[in-house]
This record gives sequence, C-alpha cells and structure tokens, in this order.
Amino acid sequence: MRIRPKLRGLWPFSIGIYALGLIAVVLLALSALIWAVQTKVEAVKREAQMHDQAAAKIELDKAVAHTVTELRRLALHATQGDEIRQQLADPAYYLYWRNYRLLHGAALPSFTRAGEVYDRRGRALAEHPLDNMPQALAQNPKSFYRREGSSDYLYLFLPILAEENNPSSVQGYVGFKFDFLQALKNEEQFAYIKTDSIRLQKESYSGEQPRLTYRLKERPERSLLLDIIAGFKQQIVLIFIALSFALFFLLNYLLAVPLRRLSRHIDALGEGQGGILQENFAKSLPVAELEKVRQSLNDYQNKLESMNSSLNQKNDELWTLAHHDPLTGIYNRRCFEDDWAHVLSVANGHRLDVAFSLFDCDNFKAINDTYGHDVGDKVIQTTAHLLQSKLRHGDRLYRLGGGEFAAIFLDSDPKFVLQVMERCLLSVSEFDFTAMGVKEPVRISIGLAHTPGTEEENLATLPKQADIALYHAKRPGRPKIAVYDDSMIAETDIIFSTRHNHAVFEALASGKGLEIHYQPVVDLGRGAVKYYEALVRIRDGDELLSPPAIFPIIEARRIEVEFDIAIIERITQDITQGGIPRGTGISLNISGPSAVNPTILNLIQTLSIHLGQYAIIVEVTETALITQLHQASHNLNELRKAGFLIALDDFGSGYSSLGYITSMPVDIVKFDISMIRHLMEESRQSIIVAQLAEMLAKTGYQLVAEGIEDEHTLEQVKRMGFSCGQGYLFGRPERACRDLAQAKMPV
Amino acid sequence: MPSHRPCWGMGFAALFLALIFTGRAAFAETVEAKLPSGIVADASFHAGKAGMPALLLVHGFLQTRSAPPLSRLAETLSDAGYTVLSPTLSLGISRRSHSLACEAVHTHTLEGEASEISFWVDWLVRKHYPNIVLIGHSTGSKSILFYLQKTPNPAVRKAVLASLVPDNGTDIDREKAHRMLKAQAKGKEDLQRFSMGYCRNNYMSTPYAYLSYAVYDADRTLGLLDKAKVPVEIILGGADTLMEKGWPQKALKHGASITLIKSAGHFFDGPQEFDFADAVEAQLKSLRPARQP
Repeated sequence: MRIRPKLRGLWPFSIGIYALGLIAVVLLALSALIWAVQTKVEAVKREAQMHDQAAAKIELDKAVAHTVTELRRLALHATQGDEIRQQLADPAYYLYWRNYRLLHGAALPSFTRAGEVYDRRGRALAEHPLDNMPQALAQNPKSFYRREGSSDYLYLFLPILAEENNPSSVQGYVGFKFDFLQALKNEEQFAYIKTDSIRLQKESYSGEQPRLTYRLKERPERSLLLDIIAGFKQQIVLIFIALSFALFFLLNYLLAVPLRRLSRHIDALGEGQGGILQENFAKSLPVAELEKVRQSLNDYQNKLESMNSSLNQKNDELWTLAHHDPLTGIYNRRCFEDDWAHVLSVANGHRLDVAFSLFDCDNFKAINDTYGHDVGDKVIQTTAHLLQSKLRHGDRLYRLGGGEFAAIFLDSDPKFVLQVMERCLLSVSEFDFTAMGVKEPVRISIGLAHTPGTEEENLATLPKQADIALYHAKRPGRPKIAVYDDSMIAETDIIFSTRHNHAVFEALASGKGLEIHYQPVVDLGRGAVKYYEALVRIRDGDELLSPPAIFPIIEARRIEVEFDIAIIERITQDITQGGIPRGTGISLNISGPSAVNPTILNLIQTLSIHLGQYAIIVEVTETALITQLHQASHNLNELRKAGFLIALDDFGSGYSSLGYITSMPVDIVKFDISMIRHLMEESRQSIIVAQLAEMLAKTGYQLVAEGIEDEHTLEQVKRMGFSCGQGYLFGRPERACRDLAQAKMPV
Repeated sequence: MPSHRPCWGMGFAALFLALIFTGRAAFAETVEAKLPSGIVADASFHAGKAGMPALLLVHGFLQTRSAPPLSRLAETLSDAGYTVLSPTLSLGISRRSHSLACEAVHTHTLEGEASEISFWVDWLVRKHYPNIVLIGHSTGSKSILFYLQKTPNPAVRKAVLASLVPDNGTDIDREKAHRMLKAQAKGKEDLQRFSMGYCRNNYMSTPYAYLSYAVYDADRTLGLLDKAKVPVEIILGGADTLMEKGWPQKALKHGASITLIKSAGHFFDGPQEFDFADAVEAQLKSLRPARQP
C-alpha cells in the first residue's frame, strides 16, 4: 500500500481514526441517501409541478371554455327574451329597461358590469353606453377581452335573431361586459390555480379564448407531504447522527478503547513495563475476542516474564561464565577488558588515580608441565585465592590467562597499592605448595604502573607499562615487584626493537650474523683449558648483540628451541671444522624448553660421535630444570648415558635448593658470579657459599666458579674446592678458541 | 244564477280523454299574423270538426297561450273536436313567447288587446268559422268584454269568461296615473311603478297604458257586462282569492250567467281543472246550432 509521505507518520492508523472513518462513511452514506431522497423529492416535486402546470392549463382551459359557454348561454338567453325585441322595436324606455331589466334582472349574474343593445346596424340604443361599452359595433362584431384597471373584462356580443334558427334574421345585437375573472371565480373552483393570480397575458385579446397567466395554487396536502418528508428527513438525519455518535461511542467503548489499551499494553511490553501494566490491565474487556486477546496477552506476558526471569538468570549465569574464570572463580580477561574500557571512559578527564598491576606466576608453564595440569590448576587456584584475599573488598582480580593476573585500583594511593602488592607477594611466597606435590617454590612477579587518570592516552598505556614493569620483575636477580618508570623503556625497547628483532630472526633463519664465541673453562688443578663454553652473539652491523639483548627477544617470541638448534648446528660446524682444539671440550647452553625437547635431544645426540675427542657438556640453568624437572631429568639422563656431561649453570642466582640439586642429573655445578663475589666478602654469605662449595665438591660434583677476574679470586676458589674456573682472568669469549689460561694461572 | 252542477264525473272523463288525445294536441299549428301595428303575433290553431264552434281562447294578464288554465283547456277542447285558436297577445312585442314580467316596459293597452281579439276573430271568420265562442281567463275575460262592448264580429256567438275579477289597480294608482297623464304629453310619458293584478307596485307602465286597464274597476267591469252584445257566461272559482265578496251576485245582476266551481282558485288548478273544462264544455254544448255561412 502506498502511503503519502505526510501520512506515513500516521500509518498505520489508529482504531479511533478507523472508527471516525466508519462514522464518516456512515454520515457520507447518509448524506448520499439524503441527497438521493432530496433529489427524488425534488424530481417528484418538479414532476408534480409539471403535472400541476398541465392540469392547471387543462383546468383553466376548461374553466375558460365553460365560463365563456355559460356567459354565452346567459347572453343568448337575453337575446331570446321578448323584451329585448320589444326594445329593438320601441326603444323609448330603453334606459329603464337596460338598467332595470337587462342588467338587474335575475338572468344575469352579479359580475355583469354592463350591457347594451345595438340595432341592426350596430348602433347602441343608448346615447351613452354604460361603462366603456362601445357606442357602435363593427359588422359581425366579435367578442374581446380587455384589461381595465385591475380587472379583466370580457366584452361579449351576440346577434339578436328574429327567427331562432335563422342567422340572417339579425335584428340587432346585444353586448355584455363581464368581469371575466370574477366569472371564472364564480363559475369554477380551481384545484390547481390560485384564483386571484389569473390575469390576461396581454392588455387585450380578440375572440373568446384569451391567454391567461396564473400561479399555481399551493397544494397544502403536497406541502404537508413535503413538510412531512422534510421533517422525516430531519428526524432521519438526527437519528443517524445520534446513531453515529452512539456507534462511535460504542465502537470506542467496545473496540477503540480496548484496542488502545491492548496497544499500550503491547508497547509497554516492548518497553519492558508489562509487569506494571498488568495490574492496570486486569479489568476484563467487553468484547469476547478482545477479552481473549487480553487474556492471551496476560498469559503471554506471564510466560514472557517467566522466560525473562529465567533469561535474566541465564544471562547472569552467562555473564558470570563470560566474565569469570571457570578455574579460579575470579574475573577473566573479558571482564577485565570490559572493566578497563569502563575505567577508561569513567576516569578520563577526572583527577582520579589509577593503578594497574600485573601478576605473573613464575615458571607456571614449567610447573604445569612438570606436575601436570591438575597440580598446575591447583597452583593457579591457590594463587588466585591468595591474591584476592589480599586485595581490598571490592577490588577485582582478573585472570588474564595462564599464570597471569591483573588488578585495577581506582583512586588509590600508589604507596598503598604497593603495600598491597607486597602483601600479595608475601602471601604467595609463604604458602606451602608442597601439599600439592610441588617441590619447587612458587613465586609471582608483579608489575605495577600508576597514573592520574586525566587523559585517556595515559590510562591506555598503563597495561603496557605494567607489562614492562612485570618484565623487569621477572628478570633474574630483580625485585619481584617492579614499579614502572620511564627508565625501563630503554631496556624493554630491546624486546620491541624492530632492528634487534630483525637481526635475531635473520640469524635464526639464515645463520647470518650468528656468531659463537668461546670462553675457556680452565682446569684449576692442571692449569689448562678443560673445555670451552660456547656463548652466542649476533652481529648486527657494527653492533654485536650479547645474550642480555638476544634472549629477551628469544623468550618473548618463544623461539628458544629453534634458536638452540641453530647454535648447536653452528657448534657442530665449528667442531667439524676443527675450530675446537682436540682433547678439550665444549659446553653448550640449552634453554628450559630445549631441555625437554626431543629434537634438541636428538640433535645433541648426534654430537656423541665427537665424544671420543671432546668432552661435551650440556649446560642448563636451574630454572630450566625446575620448570620441567621430570622430563628434563629424563632427557639429561639419556644424554649422560650417552657420555655427555650435564652442568647446572648460574647456580645460586635462582631458587635452587640443595634438595633440588641432589635430585638433578647434574655432573657439574657452575656457581653464579654473584656467589663467587660473596666469597670475596667476609660475611655470613661467604661462609655459606664456601661451605656449600665444599659440601658439593665432597658430594662428587665438579664445581666451576664463574667470574674469576683476578688471581685473588682464583686462589680463593681453588681453596674452596672448585675444580674449574671461568672468567676474564682466563680469557674473554672470542670467536676462536685460545688457550690463555696457562699464562694467567699462577704456577 | 250561477250553476253549481256536480261535475266530478265529467271532470274525470275529460281528464281521461285528455290523456287519450294528448297526441292530437300536437297537431295544433302555430300561425303568425302581422297585426296592423306591424307587430307579428302568433297563435296556436287547431282545426276542429266541422259544425262545431271555433273557440278563441284569450289568456290572462301578461301570460301567453301556454299558460294555464287555458293551455290545458285548449287541448281538452281540441280533443273534443272544437276548432281552437289560442293567440298570444303581443303586448306590443312581436312573436312574444314568454309571459311578461311586471317590471317589463308595459305600453300595451286594453284597447290593443281588444284589437288583437278582433284581429283573430276576423282571422277565424276568414277561415270560415261562423260560430265563434270567445273564452277568456282573468284579464283576458276583461279584454273580451272590452271587445264585446264595441262592435264584435257577428260570428261571435258567445263569450265564456273565466275568473272575471275586477282587480286591476288601486284607486291611488289610478289617481296618480291620472295626474301624471295630465302632466305629460302623450308619447312622452315616463314609466311609472303601479300595481296591477298580481303586480304589486312593480308594474312599470305609462299612465295611459296603465289606466287603459285600471279604469275598469268593479263597477265599470260590471258595466261592460251590460254592454256585451253576445251572451256572456262567467265561470268563477269558489276559492278565488282575487274575487271580491259578493262579486258573483253583482255579475248576475248584470245579466251574466255564472258557473261557480267550488273550491276552485283563480287558475282552476288541481282537480278543479277538469271541472273547469267540463263547465266550459257545458257552456259550449248549450250553444245553439251554428249558423252556416
């Protein structure tokens, strides 16, 4: 249906408009009916008037003919009297006779105005004829009509015959002047003509048949009938109008009002007000069908409400599911993103301190892999519970994934937030996870960032800042809580340096720039190089990237295995090419992921052909061992069986305990440089380190001291039972293997 | 002496005959004659049986021959075989066919009527009727008397005068008429309103014409009886209101034979119509045989 633009706003029309339309149609039909009746009445009226005209004409013609005939008869009677002939014979007393006998005799009617007798030649017997009667007549005089004043007269002339049926026996003439209209009135009762309206059409007519004008008589019975019809019409109109209004109000009461109520009810349902309206819509409707609709609507509404309630519940559940981490029960990443978006919108433009903290469970993957997902899940659940318990009531803790959590603090003092973070760190550190079977200590790192929430851009950088701070916190040897400051950016930039990334990946893909530098590890007893530790470098133009610049990228990109493969292949190449002096050894570092990787294992196994000529040591960090202790231990045992030696690197920089070391398949323990430096101090720590070294040495481990840069240190470590040493005193890492140790060794 | 014969049976017989012979009356013809005055007068003429007298019927005051009782009498007598001539006195009007109203212009005179009677008597004589009986009614009777006092035609054998009464005017009118007559020249008289017969103060006539009738009061009328040159039979209605008291006796004294029909009015209408006809016929039968011309 095409609707005019002006009406589009009104379409579809309301029931009220339809009701009005119906009334309008009824009134229109009534008007048409009235018009038809009126037209018919007018037609009947016209037809009746035409009929009246025709009847009036016939009536008048008949009346005129009858009147004229009657007047002629009267006049003729006068001509046939004896006395008139007497007057013709002897008119001596004509005036008397005319006045008293002719005009006032019983024969002539009252509307006879004058009469005269004329002799055979047409001359009046009277010298002065009465009342305009002619003095003389023409031959064979004819009657005529003439208007005089307000009356119309017929002048009627008849011959007086001597012999009754002999027209030639004319003795004279008699003439009469009749008030013709009066004669008509007297002679005839008019049914159609208003008697007083009859007049001659012209001033005069010759002959006895005049043309007359007249008006039709009002027909009382017709007027009465028309009045009755008009009255009936008015009554019909009034009745119809009354009926229309009644119909309108009835329709309004029965249909429009209920439909409007239904419509409002449905609108309200659409707007979610059904519950309120249901009370207002409890009253029953007068039309059964509408009542059924109302009841159906109410039923529908009840069901809808029930469904709505159920749906709300489901939505709540869904929201809970969608916004909660099913494992820990705390909020999840989606919730974090929603909340963070909300924080951005709310805090922006306000003086509102916003702090953002990131928690990461150190080595969670290793724990997961080592102890299985069940244990890992318990660790995460416990960690989450511990963290949540230390937050303020209302502070939300989000699990972003794996062992990573986040918390947002609004309008909080940074110092207070830092205290909360310390409590969190402490609670996790102090918790005994051994009940879950986890032997290694579970630690978390916390990155914290804070900014006044005045600008959305500042706020938006908070997660990144917290991430950078977290990165710093996770670095070995760093405090486990790191508060972001801009100085961290430079270091972190390494991770995000496009140039370094490119160099790393280029070296990985094509070997370009990948260099192996060898640093000698000296047998302190012999004073000779026992083996060389292969240390990776990547040349990027004039810059030589060292491990601190390389491994963050490797770890961030999770390409430890691939990178270790490239290094092993390069070392293999060096060995094959004779770059490594025979009779010495080579130690290579593998990452945690590589320690459990079968490819790496197989690749290392290929080096076993060189075991006859070289001692090949596989160095792993204690962190790598701990994260995947079982698999790593298995793999390393396999290598040991094949003839490889296993060295625990950076001992003392992590969280290894003696208990762990004893369970590890390790042949060599390399004390971290920080431990060696403790030896140079007169402190409790130096004693512990010395005692530890002595104990490990007695246990059968070969001990390697890192960071020997002077002879004093050399002497110290020798005294403490270290069998090997490594440091600048013996030689820096270089492309070629040089045996500089003997020169430096005190003899 | 007036004869008071019972005539009921004759009356019914006459009525019977009248019914039988009604068709005969249709055979009557209308005759017209131009009077010496130039006026055309007409009469109904029915030729009767030879040897029976011819009857000249003269109608009453302002009437015509069609007026009762003479119209019916004419039929009766015609049916009886009499030759009957019933003229309408012209009263100055040619071919007068209607009775003349009191208010009409009356310039006719008693002498004029006598002249017309004379004219029609002569007409009968010329038709070879030697025995003529004049039958008049009311003023017609007076006109016959006026005619009989002059020189009546010898063929007139008898006069039967019905309802001869003297009521022809009042003394006041007569005196007035005389006065006017003296004051006005003849022929230039004005019409005046008089009383005459049944015309009460509405008889429009000239004094001369009026007096021609009115002068004949009761005495003068009785005097005319004396002057009548033929036998006169008078038939009177016993209940005629126009008849003054003692009138029959007065008439008897003047030699007239009188027949008085009891209960009859001036016009002998009703059952007395037949008595009247019987009485007339009785008078006619008493007429001696006619002389042959």
